[in-house]
This record gives sequence, C-alpha cells and structure tokens, in this order.
Amino acid sequence: MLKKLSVIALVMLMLLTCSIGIFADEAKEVLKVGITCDNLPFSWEQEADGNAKLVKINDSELYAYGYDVIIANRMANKLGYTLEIVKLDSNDFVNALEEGKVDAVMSGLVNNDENSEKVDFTVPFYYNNVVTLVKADGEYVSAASVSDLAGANVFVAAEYIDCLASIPDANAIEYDDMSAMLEAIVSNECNAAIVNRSYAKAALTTYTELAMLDFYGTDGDYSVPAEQVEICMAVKKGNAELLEALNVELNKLSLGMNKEFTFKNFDSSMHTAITLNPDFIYAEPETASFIDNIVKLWNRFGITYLTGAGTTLLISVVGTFFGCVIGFLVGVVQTIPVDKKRDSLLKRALLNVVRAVMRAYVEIFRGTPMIVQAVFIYYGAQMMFDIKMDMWTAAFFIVSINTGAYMAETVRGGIMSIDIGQTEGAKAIGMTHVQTMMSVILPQTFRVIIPQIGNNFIINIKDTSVLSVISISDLFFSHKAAVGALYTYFESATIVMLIYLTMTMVTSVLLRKLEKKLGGDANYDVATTDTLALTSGTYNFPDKKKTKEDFR
Amino acid sequence: MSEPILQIKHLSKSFGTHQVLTDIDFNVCPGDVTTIIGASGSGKSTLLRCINLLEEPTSGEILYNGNDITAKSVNPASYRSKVGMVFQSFNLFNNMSVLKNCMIGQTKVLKRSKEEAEANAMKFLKHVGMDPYINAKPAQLSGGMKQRVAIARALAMDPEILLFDEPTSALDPQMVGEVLAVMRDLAKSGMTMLIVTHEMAFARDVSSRVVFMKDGVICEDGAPEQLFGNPQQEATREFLSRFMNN
Repeated sequence: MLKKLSVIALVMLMLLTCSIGIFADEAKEVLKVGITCDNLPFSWEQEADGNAKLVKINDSELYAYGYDVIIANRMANKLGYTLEIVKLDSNDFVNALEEGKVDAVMSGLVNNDENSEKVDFTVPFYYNNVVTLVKADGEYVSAASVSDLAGANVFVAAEYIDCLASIPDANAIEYDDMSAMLEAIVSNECNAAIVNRSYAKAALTTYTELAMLDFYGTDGDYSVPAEQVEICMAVKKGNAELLEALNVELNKLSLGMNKEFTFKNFDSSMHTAITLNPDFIYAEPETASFIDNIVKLWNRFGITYLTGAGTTLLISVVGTFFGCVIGFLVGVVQTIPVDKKRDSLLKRALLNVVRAVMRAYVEIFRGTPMIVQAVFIYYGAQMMFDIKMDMWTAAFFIVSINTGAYMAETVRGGIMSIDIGQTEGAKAIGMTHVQTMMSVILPQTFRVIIPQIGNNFIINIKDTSVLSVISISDLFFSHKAAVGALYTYFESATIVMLIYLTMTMVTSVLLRKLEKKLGGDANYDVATTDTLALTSGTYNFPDKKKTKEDFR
Repeated sequence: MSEPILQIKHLSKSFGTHQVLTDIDFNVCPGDVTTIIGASGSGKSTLLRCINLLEEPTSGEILYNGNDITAKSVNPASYRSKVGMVFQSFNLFNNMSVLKNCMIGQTKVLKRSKEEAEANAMKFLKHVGMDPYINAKPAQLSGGMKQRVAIARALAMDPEILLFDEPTSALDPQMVGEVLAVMRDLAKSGMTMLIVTHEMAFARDVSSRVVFMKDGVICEDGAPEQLFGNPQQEATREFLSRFMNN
C-alpha cells in the first residue's frame, strides 16, 4: 500500500517537473502580446483553417486572430520581433505587464486616468467611435449630424445610452437580439441604430441594404468620452523604448497620403478581421435551433472543450493527490502524542512550533478564497520575491495547498475517529508511534476518509474554474472562448455543465467502488478441509451484511 | 523462591485530584499466575495499565527484572514488547486478517523474517484453535474467537509475562468458556500471568495467588485456598459473599 503510494507520488513528481521544463522561458527577441481572445472582432481563438496569418497561442493548441492580432503582427514585424500571443483575461493585463509575462497588451484596457497610473498607453490603434446605421435608401441616410436624426425610431447599444439625449424627439426601441434589430432597420420599423464602428462595419459586410453615418470629428457628433473611442495598446509603466517605437508605427496607421487623419487603414484591417472570422454571424438571422447550435458548437469547439476538461481533470487529480499527501503529513504531525516525561524539551518545543505553523497554514488557506490565493501566489510571488512560476506549476501548487488545508483537518478527524483500542493494542505489542500510525491507524483512517477525499476531488473539478485568473485554459475558460466566438451562451453552458457533471459522476462511482474494495470481502476462506473445525465458534458467525460497518 | 520478574513498590496513580491507586506493593515471580479481583472501580485495570505503561504512574516504582521501567531512560515500546497484554475489548487490528494480526508485531518490532513470523503465528493460532480462520478479518469473528486471536497475538511476541485485563468481561457466557480454557492451558504450561478478572471460580482453580483490591489499595493477598476459603479481612468476606450469592 505504502510502496504503491510512494511510486505514484514519484510519477506525479516527475510529471510535474516535466511540465515545468516544457513551459520554461523562451528565447529572446520575442514580443509577447497579451490578448483576451474573447472580444469579437478584435480577438478570438480558433483551430487552424487555412488562414496563414493566424498566430498560435502560447501553451495552447489553438490559434488567435482578429483585429488585435493583425495590428500586433504588424507591430512585431515593423519593430523586428517574433510575435507571441499570450491569452489573458483583461483583468490580468496590468499584473501581467508589471511582472513581464507580456510586453504589451492589445484591446481590453480602457485608457482612463486610473489605468494610466499603472501602465503606459500608446496612441490609439483603433478608433471605435459611435456611428449610426440607417437604411441606405431611407429618409435618414442624408443626415449630416446627430440633430438631423430628430424624431427617428432609434436603437441605442447599451453602452452608448447617453447618446440618446443628443437626438431631438428620439423614440428609443429595444431589441434583445442584434440581428432582429438589423432586420428591423431593413423593414423600416427602426430608423437608426447607434452602435460602435467595429460593430457597424461587421453588420455592413452582410447587410448591404444599410449605410453607416459617421459624424466623427464634426460638431454634430455624439458626445462620447475619448477613452471609449480610442482603443490603445499598453506597455509596462516606464518602458519608454517600446512605447516610443510602437507610437511611431501606430501613428503611421492613422495618417493618409497627405498626412491628414483617416480611418482608411483601420477600416481595411478591421474588414480583414471581420471577413476572416470563421464564425462570423453578426448578420446571420438567428434561426438555428438549440440542437443545431449544440452540434455547431461541438464541431467547432469540441477539441477546445475536451482539452479544457483534460486540463481541469489533470489539475484536479494532481492537486487532490498532493493535497492528500500534505493533509496526511499535517494531520499526522498534529496528532503526535507528547510524552512530557520522556520527550526532551527541544523535541517538544520544536513540535509546538511546527504545529503552530501548520495551524496557521490550515487557517489561512481554508479561510481565504482560492481565486485570491491564485492571484496572491502567481502574481504576488513574482512581484515580491521575484519567483517566476509558470502557470502550470502555480496551478498545481495552489490547488494542492488549498486541498491540503482541508485534508489536514479531515485526516486529523479521521485519526481521532479510530478507536483508541487500536492504538493501545499496537502499543501493547511494543510498536512505536510511527509503526502504529503506518500499519494500523492510517490504513483505517484512509478507509474512513475516502468519502471526504472524493468530496475534495469533486470540489476541485469545479473550483479549478477560478484558475482562469492565472490564464489556465480549463473547461470553463473554453466555454468563455466558445461564447466569445459564437454568442451561444445557453448551448455552450449546457455542454460545459454536462461535461462537468460527467466528470464528477464518474468520480463518485469510482470512489464508491474503491470504498467497497477496501471494505473487504463479505466472506473469507476457511483455511482447512476439516469440516469439523467449522463447527466450533461459528454459531455466532456474523452475517457480514448485517454488521454495522456496512451501514456507515 | 526465584528472583521476582516484576516488583511494584509504593505505586500510586491519580487522575487529577482523583486518587485511583494508593501505595500498591506486590511482586510477581516467574511462573506465577496472579489474579487480581475486586469490585468495579477498585483500580484493578488501572494497575495493569500502569504496569504496561499505558498509564504513567504518579509515583512509585515498577521494577522489571530489577530495572525501574518508570525511569526516563526506559523506552516504553521495547519494554512493552516483552510484556504481553490482552484487553477486554480485544483491540485486534481491524484492517488486518487474523494471521496478519499475529505477524505484524513480530515483523515490525522483533524484526523477524516473514516466514519465521508466519510459522510462529500459526503455532500459537493452532494452540488457541483459531488456525482455520487465519484469512478472516476481526469484524467477521465472534467475541470469543477475537479474544483467542488476541491471546495468540500476545503469545507470538514470546512475552516473559502476560497481562490480562478482564479478558472475558465483554463475552457472553458461552464464549467465556473457550477463552478460559485457553488461559487454563497457558497457566499449566508455566506462563507467568497477571490476570484481572471477575471469574471467581477460574481465579480459585487456576491462580497460584490472589490479590483482592478495594478503593485503590491491596486489601488482602494470599493463596487462593486461603483467600477464598478463609478470608482475613471483613471487606474481602463481604465482596466474596456478594459474588457467591449472585
């Protein structure tokens, strides 16, 4: 039993070291750029589909593309770097820049005063200004300013709701579904839609009946804060060299032949991004059924989901295993009996110190959310102690010590639940504390706490979803990627829930089997052929089914 | 008379303010079968547990072959390996088969080889009539069978003295017989035994010496014929008459 465990531990350890090796630092002259991969049409992730400009995402089987990638690629080329794409949640942009995990980030960080204190923003690499979609042959197509839209039935995208006030006598209409809104403009039910430029460009690609009114730079424009319009890259605070180089190249984008400001370059790159998106569905009327969407999602993202599920499972298995190891160590140390007469003062003092530290460990990691621990360890350790951990090591570490904290108490409780007679029986034949623990108490403890280990494993399967804060692409992250591309939230959530449920239920069944196996057979072989031997003492042979152990 | 194997001198034990044993003095010589009788709560079991160091005596000495085992320098584990103990609640290891129960101490503590341990365990399991059940787990056995295995487990360690802590108190009358028969056999074979029991007939027939305890002190101490036939103390008479009337 113990030998088997130690072999498994060794294999796990080797796997861990291998994974550290695989994800070790890369060569130089690389521009690492952080991208969210879930913000159409700026960025998304997909499988290879013949588009030669796709860029492989670091530590992933998938590729990134979108407006962000087009610009990032252009910048890397102009500045003489190899581009590397790192998938990041936009909430982690600032941290990732500060720790040098990426050199620059694309869209996702708003260029406001608060963020400007933490990072340096470039000049805009896109102007996502507010524009108006109208019917190309309608009465409003000639409008030259916002006030010309007076009296129109307008749809306003939620984030620009303030713009409604600048249209005289506007009649606001709401639509749940963007394609329904576009259809409504075509059918003259709605006169105008106030949306941003990238969205309008996407809609126009399919809805040729529509036209885009752009009042940018004129007095008749909507009043929208610049931070909402100007999409900027960001670099680490103080990285003046990179900032300057990027600004020089980005400035070229916004200038036409006569050095005047023009949308031309932005629009053409955006058009490329939109038309190369394999799931471009802005304009497709939403007629697909639930089942169709599921099938579509599965065909497109099946591998993504399964890879995510594999990641989730791997982290849960490794985390639960090492969590159990930690839990047993801590639990055992917490239950070492102290012999005041025979143990030296040094041993007792040392034991007390170790116990205090372990107590603190248990309280801290049981008492704080895993998501906070993840950020604290992954980003914090790098900032404070300059410990560079790749995200896999960090993920294994975080889940292990988190599980360990819970398991420590479980093991302690398990040890205490074993009848004191077992310990006395072992002591009486001269076994030391260590021997008693290893041969008698811990095997029984293990059997008792299997349900709790199962609990922890199932909790881990579900809770690893919070590790997306350190860019782990687990099952939940794959859901976010899929809905970022296809907008089929309900269908994707259904798939993901089914996968989670399958994993947890299979786990439950397997653990029940293990429990039964460790419980032992109901029968035993009588080691004699002499039938007379059976008569003595067997009158009270308990039917195993009726012993109370079976009802535990 | 030979040198005593066990000498208990002025032994006292208290749990907090509750004095359980007061100034206990007595010796056990090799080959002695000593039974300790007395009412429940008189301190018999505590005395036995002190002798095996499962309880730390508050004061006094316990000399084992002349050495004080309550001294700091004594390692309780290696001392206990020479002193077998059989419990009222059997305390067989629930996670091991009958055979494994009898082998584990030999292999782990005495460092015997697996083959030697198994042969030795089989010898004693045969002796107590439990050899057909070597593959059974304790939960599958009756109380009497468990206690016989427990005795075999203690014997397999080749102890110099065996302590029995009310070995039949948790058994129903039918099973008491099978355990007492094994103990009778042991006594005949010359094993040194110290037995706490409520089985008066057994104490009278088997022991070479009977100790009567009351309220944590030894009240009377003598040969069974004398203690049962002609008790000197009023307390002993009272206890025995109550027992015989039941």
